Amino acid sequence: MITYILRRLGAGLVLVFIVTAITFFLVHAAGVPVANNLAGPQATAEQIAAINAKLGLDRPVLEQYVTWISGFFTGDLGRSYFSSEPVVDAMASRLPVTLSVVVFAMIITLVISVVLGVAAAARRGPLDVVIQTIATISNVFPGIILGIVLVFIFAITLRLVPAVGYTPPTESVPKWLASIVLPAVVLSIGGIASLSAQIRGSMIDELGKDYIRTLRSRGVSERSILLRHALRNASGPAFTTFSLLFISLFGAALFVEKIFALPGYGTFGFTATVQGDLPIMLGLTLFAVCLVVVVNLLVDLVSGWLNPKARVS
Amino acid sequence: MKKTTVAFRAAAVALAAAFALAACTGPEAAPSADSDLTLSLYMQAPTADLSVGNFTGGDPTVVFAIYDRLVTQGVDGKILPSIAESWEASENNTVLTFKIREGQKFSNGEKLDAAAVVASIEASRVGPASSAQLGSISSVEAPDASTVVIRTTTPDAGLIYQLAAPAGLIGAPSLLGSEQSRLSPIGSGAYVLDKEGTTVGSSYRLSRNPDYWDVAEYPYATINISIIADPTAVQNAMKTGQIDFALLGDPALATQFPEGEFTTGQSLPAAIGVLMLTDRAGTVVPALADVRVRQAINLAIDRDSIAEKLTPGSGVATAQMVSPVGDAYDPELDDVYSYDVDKAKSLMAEAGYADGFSVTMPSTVLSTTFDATIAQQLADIGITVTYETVPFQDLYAKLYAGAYGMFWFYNGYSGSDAKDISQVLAGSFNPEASTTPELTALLDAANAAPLDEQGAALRAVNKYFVDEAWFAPVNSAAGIWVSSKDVTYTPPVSVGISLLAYQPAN
Repeated sequence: MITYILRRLGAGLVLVFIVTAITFFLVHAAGVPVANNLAGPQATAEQIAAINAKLGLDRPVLEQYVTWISGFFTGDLGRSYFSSEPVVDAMASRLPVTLSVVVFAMIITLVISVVLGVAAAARRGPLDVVIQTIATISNVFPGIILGIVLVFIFAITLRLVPAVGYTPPTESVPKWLASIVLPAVVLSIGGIASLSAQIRGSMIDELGKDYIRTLRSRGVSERSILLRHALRNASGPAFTTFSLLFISLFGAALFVEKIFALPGYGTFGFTATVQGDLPIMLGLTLFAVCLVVVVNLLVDLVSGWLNPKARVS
Repeated sequence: MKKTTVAFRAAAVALAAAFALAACTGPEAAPSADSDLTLSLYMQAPTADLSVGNFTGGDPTVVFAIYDRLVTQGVDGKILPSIAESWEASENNTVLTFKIREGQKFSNGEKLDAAAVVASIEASRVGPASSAQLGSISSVEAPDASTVVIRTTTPDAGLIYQLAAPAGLIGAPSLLGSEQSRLSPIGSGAYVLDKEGTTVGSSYRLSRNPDYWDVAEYPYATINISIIADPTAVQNAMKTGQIDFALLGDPALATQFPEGEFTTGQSLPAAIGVLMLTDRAGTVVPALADVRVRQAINLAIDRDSIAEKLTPGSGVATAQMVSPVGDAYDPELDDVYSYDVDKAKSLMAEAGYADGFSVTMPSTVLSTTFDATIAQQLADIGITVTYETVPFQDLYAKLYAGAYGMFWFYNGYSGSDAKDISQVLAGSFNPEASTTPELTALLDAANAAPLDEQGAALRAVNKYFVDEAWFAPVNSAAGIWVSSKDVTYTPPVSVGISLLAYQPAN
């Protein structure tokens, strides 16, 4: 098992090198004139040259890449071209914001999806139709509209929560919760639709199997059949969907962070990409690759625990 | 199926609990005690490097709060004493002598004397963001602890305003050039940066500096500044009381802020919307070398119609590059190019372009509102415009390289006619470094004029721009502002020029 984990992590490290190298050279190829943008429209040639020199952009591209890779091994990912903030510090200050929202959204997604999926599979009939309709509508309903509606009701009209901004939990837990509850609800909508459909389908499959009939014939309670047997066996594919959802929500976080003006990973990455802030882009790429590698590894390990047949030798 | 019902209830209760716990807080109410006033502002652009000589742009509110300067500009744009309690200029404006106020210190305790001022200005003279702005300086000296003498190679009317701008930031000598000062700036301004309450590029918290020489003029103990990218989020933050003040672009938005709860008003003109005719040598577009063609372009643009239909309530037609609230502005010059297609065609024919010509212009986020109208109005005199979509992040470099003979741009007013005029003759706005003996003579006269006579001298430069059609200005843009009832706002001549624009309502 340890060898397997190390092999996967090693492959992940190779992936990190490949993806960051591609990012580095693609961004350079795009040729965003960072110094011009920093200096503004009235800048002189000398000012532009001085900024290029200050940022190290006047050096050969390969040399710049070697510098970045060298820094990577010492934990120094450079500084933002635009804010001068160390990349590691910049990411450390923004990731908790996105993580708070994404994790809360995942909890909401999981709870509601399990409830809807299990209920739809167990009851079928009109309830199933209603739940499927809700899931379908939520899948196509634009989150941005929902966000605007929720802000209008809960922030502007009822004044229950703030309309924008983020409060760290270290400052105040209730305020932290207030600042992430609406974004998390908005972010969870699409996930609920896909995950509940996945759980419903898997549950229907499981409930049609022979061992369920056997359990019923032995007088095992319906609750136990649903939650201890069918749901556990149906949870493998659902867990995979759930895990992939975690990764995709990091990307989807961009629009909720914009609506709610949250200083998180999404808006940070978007701004850096538009500006051509390469050190920040590389740092975020590095994080994204690590996230994918680790989540996929955990998915495989947990899937093996849930279903011994899925374990690798 | 009782179990699923229970699960439904559990989920509902969990969500309701989350809302309930969150609702324990709600938006914060503004503090009531005068000694603990907090001002929350919305700022458009993220602030970049905060160190002396490296502030490359964005809203200057944060750096102006942290760093004092020899002189500052008031909300009306007038130069005010600050670190220097007085100053005088030599007869030909080549020597500025400043008397440094006694007893000042930086927020880290370092002494602020003439030597400290010299050190900062020397750092700015070589700083990548400020070297060009201070390019006329030949020497900076401190003959004694309370005197700073700045000499220039040539007279420079804009220098006093540059010293009041980010190019004139005075920072703690021990941190000049250090990595630390990029994110932890130390100045002697009215506020200090609270690192704990700051997320770079997203929000800044400023705490009042009790040792500031003019601390009584700054009533707010804390100023929170939020960078919010989404306009709807700005409006929502305003409506929920999370910010006290915001600039809004579209005047129609004023209706969203009821008079009983908010104060709204028109900002002073903030930027000039202009068709820059930069290829005066005719390198890319040969026709632009002929003044008659440039004048024809000015005559072909229906400024009143554009202001009325494309920027209702926020744009005022103008044919001048300088701010309508500045001394160099002359109302009569706005009538020089009243919309007249026949006269424009006649000028085109005189110049040998009766059949017109073709031009390629960049289409950017700044220009999309105007692209179709400008193209149509220029087509009326035979000029065929082809637009090339250019991402804004690529624009400056293309303009700087002289890729286009003419282009649309919005250029912010700085609060100084001298600076505004020098800026439109630099960098991307003048990639061919165009000049003429007449213009040089007018600029020399303006630069050498005493501060109180510069308005008239710069008005002559402005008239030259109009007569020679160096630009085709279209509208002077001004949005609206909205504030809570707790704040009294005085619109300044340039965005972010002074925190004195914000005062408690009582």
